[in-house]
Amino acid sequence: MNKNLLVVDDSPSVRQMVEATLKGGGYQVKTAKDGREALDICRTTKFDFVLTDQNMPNMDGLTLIKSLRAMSAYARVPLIVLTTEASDAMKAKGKAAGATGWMVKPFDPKKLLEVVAKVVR
Amino acid sequence: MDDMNQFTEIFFEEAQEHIDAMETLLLAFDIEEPDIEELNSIFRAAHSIKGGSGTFGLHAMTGVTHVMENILDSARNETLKLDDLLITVLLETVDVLKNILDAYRFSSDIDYPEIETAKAKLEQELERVSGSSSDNVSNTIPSNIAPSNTAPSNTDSGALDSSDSSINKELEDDDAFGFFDQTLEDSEDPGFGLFEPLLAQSKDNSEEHQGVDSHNSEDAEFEDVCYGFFNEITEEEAKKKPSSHDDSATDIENGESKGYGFFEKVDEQPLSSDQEAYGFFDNLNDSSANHDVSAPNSSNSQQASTASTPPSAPVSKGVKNQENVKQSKNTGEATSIRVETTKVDKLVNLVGELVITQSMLKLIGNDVQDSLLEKMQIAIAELERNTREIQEAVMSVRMLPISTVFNRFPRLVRDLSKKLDKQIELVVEGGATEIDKNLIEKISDPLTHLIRNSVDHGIELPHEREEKGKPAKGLVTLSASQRGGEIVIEIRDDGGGLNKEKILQKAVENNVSLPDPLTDSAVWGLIFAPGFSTASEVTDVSGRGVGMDVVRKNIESLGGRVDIFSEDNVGTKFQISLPLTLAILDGMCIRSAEQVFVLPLTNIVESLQPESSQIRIMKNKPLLWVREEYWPLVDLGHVLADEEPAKDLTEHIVVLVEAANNRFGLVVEGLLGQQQVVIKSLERHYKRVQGVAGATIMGDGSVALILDADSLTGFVSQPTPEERAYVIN
Repeated sequence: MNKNLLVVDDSPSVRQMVEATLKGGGYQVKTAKDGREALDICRTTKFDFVLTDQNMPNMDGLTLIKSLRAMSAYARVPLIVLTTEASDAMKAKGKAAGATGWMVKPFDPKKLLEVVAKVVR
Repeated sequence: MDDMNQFTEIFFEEAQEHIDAMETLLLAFDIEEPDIEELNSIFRAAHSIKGGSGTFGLHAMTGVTHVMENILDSARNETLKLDDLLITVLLETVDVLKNILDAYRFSSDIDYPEIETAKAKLEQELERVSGSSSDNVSNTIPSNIAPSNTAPSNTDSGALDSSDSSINKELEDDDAFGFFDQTLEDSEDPGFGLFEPLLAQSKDNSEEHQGVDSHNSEDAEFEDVCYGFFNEITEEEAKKKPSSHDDSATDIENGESKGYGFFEKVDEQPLSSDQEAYGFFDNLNDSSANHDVSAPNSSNSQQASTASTPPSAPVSKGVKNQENVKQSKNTGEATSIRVETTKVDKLVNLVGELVITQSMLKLIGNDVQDSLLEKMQIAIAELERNTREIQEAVMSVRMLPISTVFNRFPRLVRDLSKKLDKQIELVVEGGATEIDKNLIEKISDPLTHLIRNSVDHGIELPHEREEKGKPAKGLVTLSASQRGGEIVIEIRDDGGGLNKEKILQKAVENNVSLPDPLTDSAVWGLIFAPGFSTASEVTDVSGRGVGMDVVRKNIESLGGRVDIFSEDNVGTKFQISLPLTLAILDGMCIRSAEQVFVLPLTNIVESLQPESSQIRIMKNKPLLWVREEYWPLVDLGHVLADEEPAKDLTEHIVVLVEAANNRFGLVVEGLLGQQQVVIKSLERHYKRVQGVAGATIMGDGSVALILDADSLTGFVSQPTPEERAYVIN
């Protein structure tokens, strides 16, 4: 029943914070430092949930989400994009990319767990 | 929130790095010819600090970086030009950031007026440069930043809405997730009690939700953008709400799942009449009143078909969360710490010194008097073992198996060969070879490029291969191995080989000066010239001539080199050699020309004193007949120390050496014994020498050269059939 979560963020501190938070919630967590690395991991591992930052080197969050959605294994996996801008344009982009939802940075760890609990079953 | 502390520490380091990076990049910034990549890097640094500082509640930094981010974002999108003045102000702002960071770090007082001044100045500049008002600059960041130790709490999350419901039209029903195993029981669990603010909101903002119970409002919030469970929801956001409500209501009416599945309340009717048992969209629909509610029993059937797994532990507010916080703190500490690489490097060097010291002791130990000799040797053997373990442990801190890079290539080759109608098999060898983490990150792009090249230019189309009498299926081999002090990565294909005429012709066309003498390897080297491509037509796979020069530049920046071996219709091999950060190898110390050399044990087959009956002379060159085959000989003293070749081989020792693609006998004067040696780069201190992989310091303080079996084969004057560039097995 242990769910596998993937956290993608180029900032080590945010990444570790999110990882620890989610592990605290009883999930198994893997991390990647950018979209490209995340995509590589996803090619071999199936995650139940992916939380990705938007702004990253090598491959940004939306590109990652688009790429994941193109993989049959990830057609229905909840993908949440973290962004510092919650503009409508950003949301439309996120939606078009196939994201399940978005979350604004900064966030409170508790809220993160709540969101994850909502979509990961 | 004290559970944040450990991460805050990490963030400080990170922020420091970003600040330093911003400063460096801004200082080097060329306003005449802005480099978008550099702008991106600066932007990302500001962005990361902003995101991180917000997360860790260091709000003083958030505001400043937000304004910076805006400016840099415009700059990188080329809607704004950075000029000298603006760069200056940005640099001043970086200084302010440094002060804030230090203040947070050492818990001293933050100079708020300074921050406000810096922000105002930036905004002023932005206005000056862009000529537009900077209304949008600071509207999302609360400007009443006050020092506080409370956790950050203006967060938003939500399901995507969009102002264009036609997007949703494209989505089909089955976009919904099918992994909601236990829709119903779980949803009974009121584990999310965080929607109070939202409740108020949804009532305020959406008449549709009036009169729904709190379950509904919980869901209502899902149907909409904001969970809104955060204390500070800006007015702006609240204003946005009604419209998004409408949108999402429309989505629901379209019966389309937007791919976020939330769960109905048991006491509500599920909407979907399909039996697919993805139960979400429940009272979203109830709330959007104009939706048909399907038969009540469908909820039961869903329940029946989905109650397969126990619910995951719901996270409830309050006590549970406190536990989580504690837990996360513990796990966080256990998982990893961030250590500066310089510290690790220092450790690595110290271990190297330790190995040298240990071999000194060993040397001294031999002179110890009899009574102590045995004890001494036991102790030294123990020390040797421990040293080796320390070395391995230290190395493992930095090392990753190269398979982390290699694993992506099978997919790449498959996709490309499909695209190009080729049949190609990729064989990966030596994925367990460990290389330095830094190298892993930097080597992946060049490798990707080379593999694309092999697939696109190297391997021929199936019918062409068959015409040449090759199997229709081409073979690309990717291998990694450690040889002496180097990691060698090879990309081999059994394709057509490089076309010498074409390369020369292109080089002339592009006015590339031809090397002299025009040996094969010199010709192959031409393909590294910028803009060089021999592809007859540009494909989207390769052929734009961007890349090989970059490949070489990347590899050389890592201290490595690329060699090309190619043979017509046999194939091409790209060999990348990268230096190891530190390697300790087991070597055989041999004596030749009054010097000590170290030969890696792995290369040695056996050592022997030849008998005259074993020696044959062919074309005035001696060959050794051992093990049912002829071994060409390399006289170490002659090739490396310019001594006269050994007259009488029976007076010498011959070490039979097996290199990667050749075998030969090494003629030496004597064997001194086995020893662990630390490889020191010769290139770093002197230059590359054929036949030598590096140098080491012996126990008595003298320097000995470490031999490189592979490059010693270059001295073999009797080419054997195997000595072709490489052999396709």
